[in-house]
Amino acid sequence: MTRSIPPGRDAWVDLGLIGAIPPGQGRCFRVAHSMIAVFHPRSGTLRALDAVCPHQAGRLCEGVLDQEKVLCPLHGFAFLLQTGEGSGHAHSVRSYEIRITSGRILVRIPVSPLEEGSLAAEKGEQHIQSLPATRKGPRRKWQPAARGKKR
Amino acid sequence: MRNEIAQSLVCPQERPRLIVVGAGMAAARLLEEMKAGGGLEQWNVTLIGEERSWPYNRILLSSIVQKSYKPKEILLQAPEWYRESGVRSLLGRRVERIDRAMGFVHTSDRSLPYDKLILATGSQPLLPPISDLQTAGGSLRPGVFVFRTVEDCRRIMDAAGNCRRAIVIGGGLLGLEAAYGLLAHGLSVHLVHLQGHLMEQQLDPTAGAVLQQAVERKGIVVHLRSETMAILGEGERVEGIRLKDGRTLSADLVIVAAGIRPNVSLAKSCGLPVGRGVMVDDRLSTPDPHIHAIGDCSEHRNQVYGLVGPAWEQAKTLADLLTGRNPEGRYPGSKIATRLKIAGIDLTVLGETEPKSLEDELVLYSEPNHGVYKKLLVRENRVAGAIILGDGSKGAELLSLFDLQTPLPPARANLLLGPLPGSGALQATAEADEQILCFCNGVKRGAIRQAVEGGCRSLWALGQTTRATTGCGSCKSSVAKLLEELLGAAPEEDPKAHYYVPGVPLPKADLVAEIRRRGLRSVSAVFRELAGGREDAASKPGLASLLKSLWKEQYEDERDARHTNDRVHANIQKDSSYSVVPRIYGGVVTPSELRRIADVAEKYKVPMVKITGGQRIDLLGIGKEELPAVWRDLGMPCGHAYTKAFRTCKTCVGTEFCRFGLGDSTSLGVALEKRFQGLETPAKVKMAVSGCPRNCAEATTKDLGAIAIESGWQLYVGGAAGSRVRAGDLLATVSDPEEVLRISERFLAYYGENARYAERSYHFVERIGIERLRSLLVEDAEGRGEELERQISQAISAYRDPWQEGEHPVEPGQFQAVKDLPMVEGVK
Repeated sequence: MTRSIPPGRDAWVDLGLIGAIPPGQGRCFRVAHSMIAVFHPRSGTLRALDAVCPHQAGRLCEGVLDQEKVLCPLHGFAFLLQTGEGSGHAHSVRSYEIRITSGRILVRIPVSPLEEGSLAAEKGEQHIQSLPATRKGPRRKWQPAARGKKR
Repeated sequence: MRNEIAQSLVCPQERPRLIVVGAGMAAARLLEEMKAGGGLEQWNVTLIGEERSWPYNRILLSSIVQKSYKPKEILLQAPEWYRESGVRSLLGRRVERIDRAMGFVHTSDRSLPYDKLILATGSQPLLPPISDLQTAGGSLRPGVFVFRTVEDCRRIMDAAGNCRRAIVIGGGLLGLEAAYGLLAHGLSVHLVHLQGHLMEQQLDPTAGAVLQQAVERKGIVVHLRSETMAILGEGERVEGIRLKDGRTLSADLVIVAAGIRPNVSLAKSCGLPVGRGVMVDDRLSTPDPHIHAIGDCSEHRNQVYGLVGPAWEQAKTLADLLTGRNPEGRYPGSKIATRLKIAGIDLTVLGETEPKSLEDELVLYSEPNHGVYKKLLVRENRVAGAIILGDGSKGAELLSLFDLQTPLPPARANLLLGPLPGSGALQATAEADEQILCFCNGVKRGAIRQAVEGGCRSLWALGQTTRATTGCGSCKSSVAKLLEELLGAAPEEDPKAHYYVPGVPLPKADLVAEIRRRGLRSVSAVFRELAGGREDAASKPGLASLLKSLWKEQYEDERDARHTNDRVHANIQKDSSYSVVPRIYGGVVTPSELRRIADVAEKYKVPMVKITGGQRIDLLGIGKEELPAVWRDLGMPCGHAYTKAFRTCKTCVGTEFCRFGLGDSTSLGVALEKRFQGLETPAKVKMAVSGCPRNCAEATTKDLGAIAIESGWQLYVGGAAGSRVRAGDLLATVSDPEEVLRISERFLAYYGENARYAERSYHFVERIGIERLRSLLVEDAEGRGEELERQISQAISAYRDPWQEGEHPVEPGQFQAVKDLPMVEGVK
């Protein structure tokens, strides 16, 4: 049986069967306000991190990984699978508790009352906006300066 | 038709013979310099070395004892480098005699004629007159070691495990580094020095005393003014030493590091003038114009350096002379800079450190209790020398002022303390710091300087710290140059630079041999067998590429080893959408294909449709989920615009329409592209075919380019017009387009076999040399031509259009970007 989560509680969310993630790869799940990447290293336990690289918003779930780290597919920034800490750079991402029960992946999502409030306001929308801002922001589209008709 | 250049190639026997005696750092650098600037191939080179090892970075021996490197990791070049450079190597062989009259060198088992002989015999440890140091047979007695070769290091490390107390005889640079290395093995270490202070060759007594305090804080016990008289011990065992004053010190391991002397006996016995070293002039030549000497064994203007910096400068000058690059090249002598490599003790010594005349200014600052001592000698308003202890950043700063002989600001104190506000020198530094060197990552000179001051000693470490050179890599040479400038010496050798991939410690040739020998067909098998089971994400795509090229259809494909581009066969964009480029052979397209592309663009609301530089059409901004449907609707094969593979063949219209056309460039371009589509290569390969020398398809700046001429086709390789611009080298001139295909096949096979991962053809061609490629691929000098062609045929027959996976995904979620889940609680 499932029911809505009351505010102020953590939730164990069922992400489906472990077989859906091929060994050595990651897959991305959107759970309300979070994009979560779940990694299935060839050896060692499953890990879950925020899916979006804080550098320029690459999707970590599509990166190449080993037992310890995943490399962002856009620029190769490395993040430790266990903690989400950056390796060789100052960025980091959040990590999530994960467990396997009867072949199913369960991830613990913290839901604070505040986030729950904002969740209601943005219900149904994609939450890309709540992702960490990119370092430089996107380049604005260049347009030629307007030439005045002085003559 | 054979081309002109190929015919003019001289056969190897006719090349003058260059013999290099000694296979140490000076010898290796000489060969590198000769090769890097071009001209090594003019010589038939033989390298003879007494040590069994390939030339290695002797400076790093102390790092081996300090356990920060392994012997294999300090080789200056991978063994195959010498073979690939055409250098014949005789290692573990001693030259016994030089016959100058006949022009021969004699080893124990052979006699070799020379036209030019380079003595780079180096130096050997000085053994002080200590009784019972040697056995009756003349070798060092067990338990006593010198510290000069990698073999010495091995012996010391083998012995250190069973020892508790060590004595190092000699308090110079080498003795100190050896003593510190032994600490790392958990030994208690005593250092016995004859003189009144440490490093007396470089330091004044005050600096020596400050250094001594710093060394003692590390746990080394220093005995000054102590002359060792005898090694004590019964039979095989060392029990200690006896000093002149009668004291005895107990120890079970003794290292003698009391200095070095040049190896001159060979030169002496053939009658060359020898002082302390083999005497040479500014051309590094002995009075016998056929014999030169460089490195530790040479004496130039009364100087015997015994340091690597001068050896390298000598190697450079001699390389310029031998290759004819600069016949006026002269070696003026070297400015000396020394650094002590002990973690936590920063010591830099530059040039002269004692005033010679009243005009010389001496600036001094010292804080002995904090391990700080700075001394600066200024002559004619420039740095003439300095001792900087306990301040690594000042050391680096003064080194650059010394090196460039920059005029100094008037406020002398600022040269030693804090920043230099308002001074010319500093402004120059501050401005220079703003200069961006790595444009991909926006890394400024200042960031690199800080990283070097913070301890980065190699290009790899610098990349890890600052990300410089880790983007497109085109700034590598300028960053390496700056690193060398800042360090005042060549950067430490990146052991990983020789590895095919960073995570498996083997150069390509060894890796391939192991993979074949053990029959490793998958990336995970390689990690399991050759990397101790430790996976490395950054190494996976490189290994996958190598395994696929080695095993072809027998390769066990593991999708996780691929970059996302190669999992979904499209190129990832900044917003995680993908770009789709269908194959358009030779850039020749039909109206119905154009119509389908237009339909797809409208149906999927493709945000941008773009004509590419390679004459293709790129559909940008396609979601991962849409890829299979887009491919199906396009009904065209994959264009491989996302991976390390043959990409495109650009063509001009050639004889079909162009009034200047000399050859049918479109047909040849289409044929090349049909043959090589999907062929995986170490790095991307772009091609072009031009129908006449006006070269509208820009074939001379492609990895492979063909240009029609009146009598046939010219084939160029190694061209580029990207982050680096390089005109391709003419590999062959042929009469028949079939020949273009055949030689291209051979080139691609040889490139696939021998290039490093991600090594573009323009680096590869420079590394191997166009003459070598021509003799191998065009003249078939080694008879490998057919085998190379066969390799390509096999790779081509293993080719499947990867876009077929759109209909039959090979794994769950292959084309799914995100799985949406309702925010509900499933399990408690």
